[in-house]
Amino acid sequence: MASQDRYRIVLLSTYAIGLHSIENLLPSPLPWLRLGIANIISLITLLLYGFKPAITVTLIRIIVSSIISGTFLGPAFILSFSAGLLSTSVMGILAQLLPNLLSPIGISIIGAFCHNITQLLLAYFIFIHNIEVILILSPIIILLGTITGALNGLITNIIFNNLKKSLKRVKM
Amino acid sequence: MNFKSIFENSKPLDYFIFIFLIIFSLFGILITRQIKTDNSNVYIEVDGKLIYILPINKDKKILVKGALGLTEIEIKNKMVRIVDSPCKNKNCVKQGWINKGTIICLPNRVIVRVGNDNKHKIDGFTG
Repeated sequence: MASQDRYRIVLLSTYAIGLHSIENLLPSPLPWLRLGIANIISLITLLLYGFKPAITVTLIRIIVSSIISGTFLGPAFILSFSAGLLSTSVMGILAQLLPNLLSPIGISIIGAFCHNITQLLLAYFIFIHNIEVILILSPIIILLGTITGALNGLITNIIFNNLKKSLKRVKM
Repeated sequence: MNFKSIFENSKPLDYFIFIFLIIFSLFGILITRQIKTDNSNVYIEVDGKLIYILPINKDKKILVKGALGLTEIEIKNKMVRIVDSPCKNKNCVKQGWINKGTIICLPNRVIVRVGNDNKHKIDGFTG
């Protein structure tokens, strides 16, 4: 890994941690409802630099922000760590396999969906062994996750398209 | 920053996935609403003491001994009613089928209540 790439990863991780911290400060109507705006940075990293940097940025963001908020190695950390790992992997695979069929919007929606599903399954197997609670919660969580995923995808799309244009301008 | 590029490069599959997941989760909410109402119980009290807790989704007919005599209670199609009672005015029988709330037979001291007492078991979860 060249040192330039390392600086890029550090910079992108800092953006992600900053967004995550701002998101924690925002009031939320439901305790488990998150916008997931830090995921925008993971997705942009994935689209610009590829799979490995994206997963590095995601993991750095989750670990550092959990240390900041004091939930490191706690149940919330286990949930967000595994969900972040899985959703970024799925988004990476999709971006590689279907680049002409899906735009950042669709990738973001599927990433949010995988994130929700992983958290629900883990919550069921590790913490609450009550299938009824999970069954009642999951459609609501998937609905909200799809909406926030689409919003994040739209924001990513704006940033990505603008970045592409400015990169082209620099090259010319 | 050019905000006109918000839908640029968006593909039909994006919209398809979005609409599919929205419809899928709305259906899920409708279905789980039904499950939610199904798991309530029928509580039968005589003279202030709880003597029966029965699931409402199992059809059953039982006789309960009250102050005056036997009260016949029937559970059917997720509804409950008092079929017959030894009391004079038969208000409890006239009330008919219920799926929530209570039927109270004061002369015979029988209370039939439909509800769910489980909700106090879990007080919260953060994650």
